[in-house]
Amino acid sequence: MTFFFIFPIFHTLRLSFLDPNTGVFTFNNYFAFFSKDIFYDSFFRTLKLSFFVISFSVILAFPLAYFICFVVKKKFRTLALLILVAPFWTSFTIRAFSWQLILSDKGLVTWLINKLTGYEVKLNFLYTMNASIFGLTLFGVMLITLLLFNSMITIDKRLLEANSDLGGNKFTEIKNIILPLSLPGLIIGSVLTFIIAVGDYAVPTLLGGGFKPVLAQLMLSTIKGTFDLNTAATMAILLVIVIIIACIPLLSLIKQIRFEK
Amino acid sequence: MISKSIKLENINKKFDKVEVINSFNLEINEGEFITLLGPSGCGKTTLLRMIAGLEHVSSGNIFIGDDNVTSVSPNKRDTSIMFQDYALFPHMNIQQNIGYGLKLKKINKSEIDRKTKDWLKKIDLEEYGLRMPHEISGGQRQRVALARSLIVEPSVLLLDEPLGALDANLRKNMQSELKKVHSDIGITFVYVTHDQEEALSMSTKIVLMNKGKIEQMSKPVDLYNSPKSSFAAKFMGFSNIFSIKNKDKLDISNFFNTLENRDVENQQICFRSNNVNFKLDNIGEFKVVSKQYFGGMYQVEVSNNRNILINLMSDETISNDMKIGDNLNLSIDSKDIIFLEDK
Amino acid sequence: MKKFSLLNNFLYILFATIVSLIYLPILVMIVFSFNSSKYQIMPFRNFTTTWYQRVLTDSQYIEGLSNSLIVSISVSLFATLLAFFCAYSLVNSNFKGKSFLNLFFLTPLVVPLILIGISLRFFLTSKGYEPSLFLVAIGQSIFVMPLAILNLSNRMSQIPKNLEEAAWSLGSSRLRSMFEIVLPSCKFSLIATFILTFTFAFDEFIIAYFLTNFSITLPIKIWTSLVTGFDPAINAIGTIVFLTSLTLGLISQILFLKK
Repeated sequence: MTFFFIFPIFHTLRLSFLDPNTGVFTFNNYFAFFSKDIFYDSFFRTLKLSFFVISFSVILAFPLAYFICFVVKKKFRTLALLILVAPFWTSFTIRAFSWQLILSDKGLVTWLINKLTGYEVKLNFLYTMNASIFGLTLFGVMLITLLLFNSMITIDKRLLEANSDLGGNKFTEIKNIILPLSLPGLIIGSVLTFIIAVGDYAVPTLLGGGFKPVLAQLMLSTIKGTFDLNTAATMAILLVIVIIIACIPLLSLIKQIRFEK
Repeated sequence: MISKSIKLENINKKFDKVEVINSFNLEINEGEFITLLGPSGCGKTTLLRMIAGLEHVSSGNIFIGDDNVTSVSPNKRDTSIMFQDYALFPHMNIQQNIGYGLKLKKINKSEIDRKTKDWLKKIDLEEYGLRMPHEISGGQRQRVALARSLIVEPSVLLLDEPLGALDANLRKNMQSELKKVHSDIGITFVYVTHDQEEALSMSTKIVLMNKGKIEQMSKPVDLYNSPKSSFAAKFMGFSNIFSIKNKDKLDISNFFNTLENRDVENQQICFRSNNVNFKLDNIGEFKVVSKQYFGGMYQVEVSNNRNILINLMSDETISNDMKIGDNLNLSIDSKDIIFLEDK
Repeated sequence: MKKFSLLNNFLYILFATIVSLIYLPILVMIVFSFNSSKYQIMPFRNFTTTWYQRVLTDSQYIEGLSNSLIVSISVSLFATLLAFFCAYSLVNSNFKGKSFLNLFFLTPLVVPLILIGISLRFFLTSKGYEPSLFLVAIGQSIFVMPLAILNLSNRMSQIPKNLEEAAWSLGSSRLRSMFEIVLPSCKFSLIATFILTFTFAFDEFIIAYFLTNFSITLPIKIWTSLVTGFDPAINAIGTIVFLTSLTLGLISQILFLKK
């Protein structure tokens, strides 16, 4: 594990500080990265994409988890959850591709609109960042709902009864009881979603297109196209730094749990 | 079966710097039924687990028979342990559970079979051999666990509150059954419980523990009748524990007036609530504070103007009409007063 | 009270919408896998099973499939076994660095697959290893290990500690009790973990993409056909993969609930 996981990461770290031609230690790769517009843009595009994906995923996943946990009858709860997460076991790539069929300008949606209304419309949706956000959000919703549900299901129902007994309403119930108690699930889910969004290659390629690449796409094309390992390593390390920053809320969560015990 | 003695020599045990057992010394003779008694957290289970080898000692030595087993692993010790929840292997049937220890000893199959059948018969579960542990009742599980422990013929049987999970009725039956098993096979039993009644009715000797140390070690009768410390007195159900100033001149006629609420400076004494005699008397010094029915008996709390609160037991025929605020006169026999050794 | 039912209605609609969005692409894929048109555009032409026949006879797909099977099965076998021992030592021992080790085992979970792939490639090629299916197996093992450890240690922490202690006191060694007491109690979880890691490894694309050159796995084959001109047979293979993974996934889920 150390050999195949930690060493490679450090090797990459070293590579990112080596000059591609001479092999001397340098910070130039990082300077070069941020001085070229295409790299600079893609870096912030990646962050923007991940930020939107998390926001939308959380906004959608919270009511969904609440729904499965507190609205759906006990008998159907597992079923509802299973329906929602079963596609985890299908190929991510093929699912993303199928969206192409649906959203492209000659796809299912435009065809349906044409059949129903007679209008020829163009969606102009596929091969934009919005399409990437859409595709990754669907994935994020599944993941966060699952983790939120795991947190929510452990909430003692008597707490909710106590809340309404003391004169609280649905709003205070969600704000004062459910949200704080399901926070661990929410944080873990968001961080994992962020990590997947920031490092994903398939969805941005199939739905986002190649003209405005995210970091993962750029990394791949750098390796396969120009064989510039050092620049690719630089990108990889930048990604690692972003992820480490994203993991900070996770660490505070671990601390909190330790204090409770 | 061979019975062996146990010797614990200067045992210390720390969990994360918290001292659980503190320079503990104990000698258990072979064939004894010894009970480690104490409130939860007193270290009794830790001690048992150390004898079994499931817990390391921080320092000190453990001897079983003549062998120093301090660093011997549990599977090489001549002990067998029984847990409160029995720990039957859920994926083996009753027969396999009982025979497991023999299988580990590489005894041949027919021999295992014969011995297992023997034990099934002994514990009255002959027809249950092929059932799974979750298919039998708590009492039956308990007997299976006992058979599983004894079939390997240990020299010492360690029992960790084995009756704790049973209901009161079954518990009484099992107590006498365990006692019978002990006198039949004659090996050393080390029994852990927090229930003083259980300890009194079963053991040949009781080790009362408090905060990782021996509070008192006596025969059951002695522990019950003459506790040595206020802790022991409380644990044995003495509800009246007080201090007196002058222990050399006990004025029995004026006894209740010499009582002080407990302070560490003076001599501690105790007496049982059922040993206090009382008489309704309009000018008596004690007033009834509360009265609680205990089935055939009333437990009555009385107090005087110095805030000395004394517990009495009285037959229901006498105290049915007693009311809160009634005045009483108390007296006691001097033989019923026990002097404690702690300060 | 009326306001609450309004909320509930909203939630029902939201659930239905999300579920249909999740299943829509899968449905489309299945439908198109029976479409006789060579182009992936509406309208639907005629019903056909040609694409399925294509997939089952195309040597590249067959090769990809068999490579994928070999890699995923070895990955999941290896990861499940190793995870069993890791989980056992994590659950049953109490040494100083335990919580640190626990975190260490889980870190690959927070590293994007693309990073695992890239850094492994950099590292191993610099050490003179050629990209191959073997390297793919190593990379994928690292990615599925945390899941396997989580799954198994979760189950193991539910096994009462004193089962093993009872076995020791009856004369069983540590190793023996691990196999005779713990292993049978984890039976279902082991199978579930095996299936889970298998499906994850089988589907995994990006690590494999970096770590192999010539022997391709099925996801790589699918990917290359997707980006270099579309092959309708992909819908057929996607449908097959979906249905098998779904069945396997459901089985593992049921086993996991059963413990």
